[in-house]
Amino acid sequence: MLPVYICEDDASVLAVQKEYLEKQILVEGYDMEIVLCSGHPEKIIEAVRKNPRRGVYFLDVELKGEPMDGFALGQEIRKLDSRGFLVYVTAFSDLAFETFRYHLEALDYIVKGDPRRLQDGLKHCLEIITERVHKEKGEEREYFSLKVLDVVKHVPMDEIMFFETTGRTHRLELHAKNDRIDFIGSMGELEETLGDKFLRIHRAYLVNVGQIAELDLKHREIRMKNGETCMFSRNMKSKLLSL
Amino acid sequence: MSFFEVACGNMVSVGMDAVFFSCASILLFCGMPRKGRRHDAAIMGLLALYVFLLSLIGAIFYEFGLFAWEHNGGEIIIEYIQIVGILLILRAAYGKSYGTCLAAAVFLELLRQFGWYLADIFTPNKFYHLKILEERMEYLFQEWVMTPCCFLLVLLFLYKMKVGEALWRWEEYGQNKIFLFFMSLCPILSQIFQEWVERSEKDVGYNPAAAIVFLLVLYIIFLYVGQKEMQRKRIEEQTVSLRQQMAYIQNLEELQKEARRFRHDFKNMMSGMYLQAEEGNLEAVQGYIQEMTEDFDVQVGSRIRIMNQLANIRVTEVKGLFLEKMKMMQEADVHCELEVLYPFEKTKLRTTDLCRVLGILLDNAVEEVRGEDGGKIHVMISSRDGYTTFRVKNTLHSAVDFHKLGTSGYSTKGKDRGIGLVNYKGILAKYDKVLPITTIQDGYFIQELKIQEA
Repeated sequence: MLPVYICEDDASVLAVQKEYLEKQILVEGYDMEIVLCSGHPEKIIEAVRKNPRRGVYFLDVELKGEPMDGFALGQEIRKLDSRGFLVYVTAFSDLAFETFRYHLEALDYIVKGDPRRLQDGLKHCLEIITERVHKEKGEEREYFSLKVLDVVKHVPMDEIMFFETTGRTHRLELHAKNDRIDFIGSMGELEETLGDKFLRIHRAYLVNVGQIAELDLKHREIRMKNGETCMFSRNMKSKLLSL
Repeated sequence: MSFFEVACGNMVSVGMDAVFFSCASILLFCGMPRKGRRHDAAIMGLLALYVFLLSLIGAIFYEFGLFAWEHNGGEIIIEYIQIVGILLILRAAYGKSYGTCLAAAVFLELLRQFGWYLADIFTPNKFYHLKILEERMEYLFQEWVMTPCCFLLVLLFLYKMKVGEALWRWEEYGQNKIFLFFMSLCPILSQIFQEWVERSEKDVGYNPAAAIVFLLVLYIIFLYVGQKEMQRKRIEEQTVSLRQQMAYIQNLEELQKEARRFRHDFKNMMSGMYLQAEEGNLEAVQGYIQEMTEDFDVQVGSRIRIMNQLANIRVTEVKGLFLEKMKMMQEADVHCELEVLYPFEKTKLRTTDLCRVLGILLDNAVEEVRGEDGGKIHVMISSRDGYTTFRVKNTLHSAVDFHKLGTSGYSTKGKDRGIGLVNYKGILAKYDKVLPITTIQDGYFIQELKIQEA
C-alpha cells in the first residue's frame, strides 16, 4: 500500500488534485491511499518522518510564501524515503526538469494550468507508478549503490565488470557494461562490502568473478566479458585457476 | 700632473658623462622636459654647475690622495656625490618623485660605468706618451671617438629595450621602499662584490663573476620571453572573449527583433480574433488562441527559454561557448535543450580548461546527432551546495565500444580521430575531486562531470 501525499499552496488546485486522485484510485483499484494534503511543506515532512515508508508525492514546484520550495522539499523527502515516487506540479510548461530528475530522481512533472491537462497528467503518473512497482516485483536484480560526491548512482551488480585504481589516492574507477564511473573510495572497503562475488586479483583490480571471460596465463591477465583486460598478481594465479 | 690639468681632464670626461646622462634620461623619461625656455636654461645651468663641481671635487680628492683610500672609499664617495647630483638635476628637470629620481640616478650611474667599461675593453692597455704625435692622436681618438661610440651603443641598447616604458610601469606599479633602499646602496654593494670576486679569484683561482653574470642574463631572457608569451596569450583570450560577448549581444538583438515581429502579428491576430468573438464564433477563437500560443513558442518562446537558461550562466566565457555551440547546432538543424536551473557563477576549474572540456563534450554530442532523425542533445548545468555538475546527454545512433572510449585513436567518426576524449581526461587529471562519469541509458549517451568546489 502506497501512501499518497499532496503539497500544494493553491487551495483550489489542491482540491482538484485530491478529488481526481481519489476517484482514479477507486476506479482503477490502485493499492494507494491519500494520507495528507497540505499547503505547508513542513507538515508533509513531519508526516513522512512519523511514518517513513515508500510513498507517492505530488509536490508543487513554486510553493509561494513557504520557507522552502518544491526542490528543497523534495530533497528533504528523499532523505527519509529513498525509493518513493516524486511527481512535480508546476504552472510552467517548460520546467527545466532534468535537474529535478537528476538530483531528486523525480519521476515526471505535470502542468497545472488547464484542469484537463492536470488530470491527464495525474492519471498518466499513477499508471507509470503502478507499472514500475509491478516490474520491480518481477525482477530481483541486485544493485550496487555508489555515492559520487553529491548523488548516488545505482549500477546492476551483474553488469559490473571490475573496479580499478587510477594511481591517485582513493580514486577508483568502476567499469560496467554501460557505465564508467570515477569515484572516491577505498579498494579494501569495497572488497569487504562486496564479498565473494568479487576477487582482488591484483593491487589495482577488484574483479567480478561472474564476468570473467578468459584467462591468459602467458601475459598474466584476464579478459572480461566486455573485452577489457586486467592484470593479476602471481599469488592469485592458483585461485583463479581453481575457479 | 698639476691640479689644473687634473681638473681639466676631469671636466672633459664628466662633460661627456653629462651629455650621456641627458640622452639617457631622455630615453628613460620618454622625452625632454618642456617647461619653457627659462626652464631649459636653468637645466643647462645646473648641468654646467654639476660638471664644474664634480671635476673640482674629483681633482681635490686626487690631490689629497683620497683615491688611495682602502676599499676604494674615495671613489665610492665620488659616486654618491654623482648620484645625488644627477638626482637633483633630474628632479629639477622632470619633477618626478624622489624615489623615481633616485632609481633613475643609480641606473644612469651604473650605465655610465658600463659605458666606460666598454670603452676600456676597446682601449689597448698602455701608457700614452702624449708628446709623440701618433700616440696623442690615438689617445684623442680613444677619448673623443671611441668612448662616445661606446656610450652611443649603450644608448642604442636602452632604446631597443624600451626602458622608458619599463620605468613608467615601475613608477606606476612597482615602487617599493626596499627596492629603493637596495638601489641606493649600489655603489657600496658593487665594491663589496668586486672585492669578494677578487678574493675568491686569488683563493680559488677562478672568477665567479662570469658565472653570476651569465645567470643573470639568462634569467632576464627568460623573464622577457615569458612575458611576451603571456601577453600574447592574454590578448588571444581577450579576443575570444570579446567575440563570444558579441555573439551574445547579437543573439539578444535577434530575439528582440523577433519579439517585435511577433508583437506586430499578434496585434493582427487579436483583431481577427475580436471579430470572431463578436460574431460568437467560439471555435474559431479557440483555434486562433491555439495557433498564437504555438507560434509564440516556435518564434520567440523557445529562444526566450534558452536565453533565460543562458542568463543563469554567469561565467562569460562559458556563456559565449554555449552561444557559439548552440548557433552551430541551429545551423546543423540539431535539436538542443539547455537547463541551468541555478546560477552558475564559478568553479574551481580554470576557465580555459572548463571551456575546452565542455567544448569537447559538446562537439562529440553534435557529431553523433548531426543528420540523424530524432537526434536530441540535452545539456544540464547544476551548481548548488558546493557541487557543480555538467551533464551532456545525446541520443545514440552508432555502436559504441564502451570500454574503448577515451583511449587514444578510438573514435566512432573514422580513422585519424579520437583525440578529444584523451585530451578531456588529460585536462581533468590536473584537478582533485573532479570526477567524470560516462553512462548509456535508455538510448542516450550521457557524459557527466562532477566537481566538488569546497
